[in-house]
Formats: sequence, structure tokens, C-alpha cells
Amino acid sequence: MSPEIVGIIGIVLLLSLFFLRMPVAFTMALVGFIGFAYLNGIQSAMAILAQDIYETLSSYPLSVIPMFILMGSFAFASGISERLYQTCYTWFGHIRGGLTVATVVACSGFSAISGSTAATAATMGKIALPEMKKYGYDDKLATGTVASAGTLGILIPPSTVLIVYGILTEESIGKLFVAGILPGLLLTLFFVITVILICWKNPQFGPPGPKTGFMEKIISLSGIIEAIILFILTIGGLFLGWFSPTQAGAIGAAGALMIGIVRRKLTFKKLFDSTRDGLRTACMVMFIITGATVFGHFLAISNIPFALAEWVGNLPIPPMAVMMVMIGIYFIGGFFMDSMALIVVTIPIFFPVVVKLGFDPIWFGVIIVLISEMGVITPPVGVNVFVIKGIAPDVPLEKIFRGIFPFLGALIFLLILIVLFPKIATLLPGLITY
Amino acid sequence: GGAQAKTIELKISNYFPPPSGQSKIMVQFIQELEARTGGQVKVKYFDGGSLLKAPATIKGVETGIADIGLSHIEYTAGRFPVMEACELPLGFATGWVANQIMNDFFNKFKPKEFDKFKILWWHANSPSVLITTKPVRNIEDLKGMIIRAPGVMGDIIQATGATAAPTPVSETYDAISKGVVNGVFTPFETLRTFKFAEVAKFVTVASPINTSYPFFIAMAKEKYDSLPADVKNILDTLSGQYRERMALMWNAIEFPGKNFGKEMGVEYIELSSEEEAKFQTAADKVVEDYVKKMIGNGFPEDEIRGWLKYLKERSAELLELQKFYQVKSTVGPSEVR
Amino acid sequence: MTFLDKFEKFNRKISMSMEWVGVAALFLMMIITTVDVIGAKVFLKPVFGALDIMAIAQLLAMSFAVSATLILGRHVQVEFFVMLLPDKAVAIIDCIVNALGFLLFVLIIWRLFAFGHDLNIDGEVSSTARIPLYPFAYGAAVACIPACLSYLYMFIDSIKKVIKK
Ligand code: NA
Ligand code: NA
Repeated sequence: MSPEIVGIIGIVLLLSLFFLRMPVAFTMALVGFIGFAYLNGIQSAMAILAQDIYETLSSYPLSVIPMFILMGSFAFASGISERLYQTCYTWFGHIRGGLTVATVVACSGFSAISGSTAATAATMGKIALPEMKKYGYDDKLATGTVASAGTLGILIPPSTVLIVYGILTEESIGKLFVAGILPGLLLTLFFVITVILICWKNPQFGPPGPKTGFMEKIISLSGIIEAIILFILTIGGLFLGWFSPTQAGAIGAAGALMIGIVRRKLTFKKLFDSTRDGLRTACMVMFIITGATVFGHFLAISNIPFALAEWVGNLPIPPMAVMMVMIGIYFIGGFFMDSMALIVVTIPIFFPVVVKLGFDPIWFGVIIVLISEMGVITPPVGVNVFVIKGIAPDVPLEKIFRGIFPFLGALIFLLILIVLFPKIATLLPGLITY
Repeated sequence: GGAQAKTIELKISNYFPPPSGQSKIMVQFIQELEARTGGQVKVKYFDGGSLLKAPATIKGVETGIADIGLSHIEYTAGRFPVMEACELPLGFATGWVANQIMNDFFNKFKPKEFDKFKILWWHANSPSVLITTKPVRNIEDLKGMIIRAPGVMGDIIQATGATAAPTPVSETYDAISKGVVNGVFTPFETLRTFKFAEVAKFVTVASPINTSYPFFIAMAKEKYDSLPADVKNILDTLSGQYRERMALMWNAIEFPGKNFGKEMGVEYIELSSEEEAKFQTAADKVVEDYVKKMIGNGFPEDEIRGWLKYLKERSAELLELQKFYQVKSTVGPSEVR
Repeated sequence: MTFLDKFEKFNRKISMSMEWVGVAALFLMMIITTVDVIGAKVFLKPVFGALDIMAIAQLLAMSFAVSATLILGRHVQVEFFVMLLPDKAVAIIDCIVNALGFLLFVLIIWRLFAFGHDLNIDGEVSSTARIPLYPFAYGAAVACIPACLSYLYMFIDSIKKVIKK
């Protein structure tokens, strides 16, 4: 059997076990292990299983995820998120879907702190989901929104995906970051429009609240003070160079903890319980990333990426058509692989093709990030969807997956725009003189 | 039939990104290996860490995840204590010298810690320089600065009076640009490859604290022994050639890095001999700490001092050799500039 | 109470107790980073080996939580397909899946012990504080044992269900 066939059988086995209700994290690890054993021997498969578990769980760059999740847990337990959403409701509650629009904007703001989609989705999910539920918002809309808007974490800088892309391709990370800003803002806008359209078509999804008076609005503003303090602490510290994005999560968690203590909202019991709850979410996310790593290594040695690159590189069609094929491959690859694993495996193979065809590497970086964003929400392996499922255990997984589809549409729309008008990505970096 | 020998598939792992000089040379090595064996050896090549990330490489080679791997010994701190002598600040003048001396040291002392491996060849980065956001004109300027430097490099940085931070390399650019760290201790090439020149505008060369990592191209001994004699022969010959080419490569990629820095307006600072002496004191401290640590590990002091003596003498000889061959470097005495 | 019930109860208790080790480790991660950041920026004295401690604490936090999260059903799984099937089929499927989960965790525990053994033999230490790494690999292996036992319990339980129906 050729390695490519083994790779495809592996994907089929993965999907089958998913449907048989095996936890996705363990399925990916198991199928990755079996496939690796078949292709490369049982000894090396056993070695890579232990190695991937140990390395992923002890990876310092990944600590951004548990730390931001902890921040979300503390913000929830301290009532920061509750008061923030009360204020939002007072201001925008009378508009259909007003809270969801506010959530998209909040995700966009939070993206400026976090470099990771999983961290953004987990933190914002913890903060926003219970509140939207309280105000009678539809589960599918609420979970779909947070899973999708969480992806902004890697388009609006800082972004771990762009850093990895920059290192793998030796492109300027600074320029890549700047290139992400305009598309990031556009995507925020498109997500907002998506929410408004959904609520316009389905009025019961984001039921409007009572109209509030001007004075009531002004008074309610006190509710966002803590959230603003927390935001200034993390983003201010980030820009003043007190700490890195990885460290910002821990500082944010400590900040939320302090606010909870000062406001006498956090008893010892609540503190322990919320840390434990954060730990459970973080554990779930980190094991998914671990499983995805093992599975990614199996796909890497399955030769599929190489075979595809060779095929694409030799296609007798114009460069733009090749680019379309490549985008299609990334889109489909994103179904099965974690975005980071996909990029690490494929960029070394595909990037030379991109350069040879004369495309702008910075522009391609933005395209890659957009497709990665799709990958973390598309079924069957959609890490952000899994994260949201972990936070909202009572919402069925397939409901969340259905919830992301309109946002996937918005992402595809932006992708088309950037392909048609590359300036959206290249305008700002072009202004940088270095 | 029968004349056609069985194809041997070798998986080669390299954590460097594809556009780097290191990766380009690996690709040439692979192409030549396949060509010279007449297709008997078929290589599956994984770069950019797509199969094994840098810290996982040596174990991955040991366990057969890959057959040949490129990485350096500091990623598995403590595992290769004897070879760690080669990353001490013993003043290897240039990248070319550092590359040669790693091989010479290994061949002379044959450390037991590599018994499971066949090291095809050693190589080394050019000496690290101080790439900073504020000028370092004397050692006192380092006080209060936070410099990204992990492991032994960090010990060296601490000894100069600065504060060392082991920031992951993927976060360093961002950390410098925001001021989380005030600089980084890496070779000139990183000005371009990691784009440090965009965010740090001063470079200080302090030759007494010159250090390089011992990089290996390693194979599991068992795997190597299992190869047919003719393939072993070809592999050995190529290893000898590529050892030299890689030394020249590491040395040569410094120039585009330095030029890129110049274009970005980076100021290059050279130290006076009095200032260099102060850095020498810092370097000596790190070397003595190593000696103490190794005595603690049960090595006789004479033996350790013997390694250090060899490294110092051999590096001086190699520098003369470099002058003779007229290989030019970005650092080192004026004759080799 | 049958032996199987006692086994399950005991296992649950162990998992929940172990989880507190994870809670402590996660909390430590936050404290270490905060102290490190303040120390580095205000006093130019970062916590020595802060990143090493973060990595180790994270390994412990995640591994010591895995058993509890498994028992509590916090690991994401796809429900809708199985829900469409008759009970008998579901019981058989659960049998297979739980057996696979059990085997996977046997493998994970065994290999993590082997990994720790190698780290010990090779003398590997963390990059800055030079902390020996093998005890933490052993710790992660031990932390996975209740998860393995849970799968064993669920496997036996699902066999019982197949037989009953
Ligand atoms: Na971001
Ligand atoms: Na996906």
C-alpha cells in the first residue's frame, strides 16, 4: 500500500471513530499512532506518541492557552463579565442581536492581546456565553459567533500563526503583523453584518430587550470599569513592553483575581472552583492540540502533502489558477488538521511554489491565516468549535458546527476580496520603510 | 534481476526553515546522496521542523522517527556534557574556526555520550554578538538590560552583569520590538533571517564572550551499521565534503546579515582592549563554573582542563589556517575580515 | 455494592484528588509569571528559571487533570450519530471505543514511563534552571493511570450492557 493510501485510510478511520463517540483528542492520538506505526514501524510510533504528549503539554509558547482560560474563569467568577454584559445590554439590548454584535467587537479587541485563536475563543466563550444565554439568545448563534470571532486572534496582531509563517519563510514578522490589521478590521465588520443579517432573518435568535433611558445608560457605564481596567492592564502592559503575549494571560488572570478579591466577589471556595473549572477546559484544549500534533505527524509521513505539492507545482495552468487550487487544498486540509500543524507541514513544501509563481509572500501569509481561521472552525476537526463545546457542554457539537456556517461564508467572502484586491493586505505593510 | 539492490529509504529531519542557508545545503547534500548511490538511497526530507522540532531531534533519531537529524546539543541540556565544553566562551575567533574545532574536538576525545550515534559531521554557528536596542560601548552599559539568551549563553550574559531571559526564539522579535527584552545574543545572520535588524539598532562584538553551539548531523549507529558498505562509503565521503561546505556556509551567511543590518541603519560597535578585558573576566567565570560542574559529575579535573587546553590551542592553530586559506569572516582579527 | 461499583467510586475519588495537584500547578503558573514580570521590569531580577517552571507546571497541570476530565465527560466527542442508533448497537460501539481508549492509555502510561526513564539515563535537565526532567515525565505517567482505569471500568460496564440486552 502506498503511504498516500494509508494516509487516506487514516482520515477515514479518524472520521469513523469520531462518529462512534470516541473523544476527538484521543481519536487523533490513536489514529495518528496506528498510522505512524504502519508507515514507520511500531518502535518509532511509540516514541513519537510519548514525545508529542510530553513536548506539547510542556510547551512554554502554548502556556498562553491555559493562562487566558484562567483569566476568563476568574473574570466570570468575579462577576466582571456579568457586569460588562449588563452594561452592553442596557446600551444595545433593545437592538436585535445587540449582545452578539458587542461580543464580536469584544473578540476583536481581545485579539489584540492574544495571539491564539483557541485562547481567544476560550476566554471570550467563558465570558460571553453564559451572559448571552441569560438574555435569551439562541445557543447556535451564541456559540457559532464566539467560535468564529475567536479566530480573529490570529488575524489581528499579535499572531502566533504569522510568527511561525514568518520564521518558516524568513519574511518580516513586523510587515506580516501590519498586513493583518486591515483584513482583521474588515473581518470584524463582516462578522457584525453576518450577526445582524442572521437576527434580521430569525428575530427569535437575539431577542430585543426593553428600551432604556439616557440616564440609565450613563449610570450603567460603571459596570464596564473593571473590564476596562483589565483591558488596559493587559494591552497597556503589552505595548509598554512589560510582558509578552504569553505572559499577558497570566497577568490578566492575576488582575481578574485581584478585582474579584477587592470587590469581595471571590471567596476561597469560588477561587478554587473557578481555577479547577479553568483547568478542566485547558486540559481538554491541550489534549486536542496534542492529538492533532500526533495526527499531523502521521499525515506528514504519509507523503500526501509532498504528492500534492508536486502535483500543484506541475499543473499546466496559469499562476492564478494554481493559487486557486492551492487555496482549495488548504481549505480541505483545514478540515482534518490543526492550523498550526497544517502550516508547519505544508509551508516548507508549498512556499517555494508560491514564490516561483511570483506571488507576494506577505499577501500569501494573510491568505494562509484566513484559511487557518476557517480550519479551526470547519468540521470535523475544528479546534475552536471543540473549545466552545468544552465551555458549553450542553450545546450539541453539531449545533455549534452549524452555527459557524454563516461566519465561514464571511471568511470566504473576505478571502475572495483579498484575492481580487491584494492591496487590502499589502497596502499597510508597503508603507513600512524597512 | 538480482543486480538491482533494494532501495533504502532514509528520512532526514532538519528544523531550519526552507529558505535558510542551512536548509539549502541540506537539500544539495540529499540530492548528491541520491545521485551518487544511483537511486539506491531514496530520501524523504522534512524541513522547518515538520517531522521533528529542534529539541526532539536527537531522540527522534535514536528511536527511528527519522534516520538522520540536524539540531544542536543545547536543546537537550545535560545530555552531552563533554561536548558542552565546545560551547564555552573560549574565544573561537570566527564561525569557520568554530565549525572546524567542533569536529576536531569530537574526533580527538570521542565522548562516550555519543556511543549510540554515528555523527556524520559537526558544524557550528558563527560567534554570537550583542544585538541591542541601546548601545553597549562598555560592559557597564549592560547593567539593567535584559538580553535573550538561553542555557550557557544565558550564563555568559549573567556574568557580564546583564539579565538573561530564555525567551523562545519565535517570540524574540516581538519581545524586542515591545521592549520586553532589550536585545539578543545571536550571530550577525539573525539580523536578516530573524529580522532583528528591524527592531534592534546596535550590535556590539565582544570577542572574549564569543560562543557557538555544536550542531550535529546525526544518525543512529545501528541504522548506519545496517547500511551496505558502498552506501556507507558514499555517505562518509559526502560527510567529509559537506563538513567543509557547511563551515563555509555558516561563515558566509554572516555577510548578508551584516549588510542587511547596515541597510537598516544598525550601528556596529567594536570594543577597546580595556573593555574586552572586562568581558574576558566574565568569560573566565563561566568556564570555571563548567569545570566545577563537571568535577561534580565525576570527571577528573585534569581531563577537563585537558579539553579546555586543547580547545584554546587548536582554535589558535585553526585561525592561522583560516588566514592561510584566506577565508573572510565578519568577526575576528583584521587579517580575516 | 458490587466490586465494580466500588472500583468506580475509588477511581473517581483518586481522580478528583489528583486534580487538585493540577489546580495547584495551574495557579503556580500564574503566580510565577506575575512575579517574574514584576521582578524583571521593576527590580531587574526575574525569577530564575521561570520558563522552565512554567513548562513543568503546565505538564503537571494538564496531566493531573486528564483523569477527572475524562470521568466528567469534558473531552469533546461527537454525539449525534450514535444517538440515532438502537441501544444494542450503541452498547457494542461503546465496548469498542472504551477498549480503544483503554489500550491508548495503557500505551501512553507505558511510553511516558519509558520516556522518563530515557530522560533519567540521558541526564536531561531544563535549559535554564537545570532541573532534572525525568521525575515530571514519571509524574505525568502516574497521573494518567486513573484515566486508564476509568476506561477499563467503562469497558467492563459496556460489556455488561451488551450481555444484558
Ligand atoms: Na492577536
Ligand atoms: Na477544521
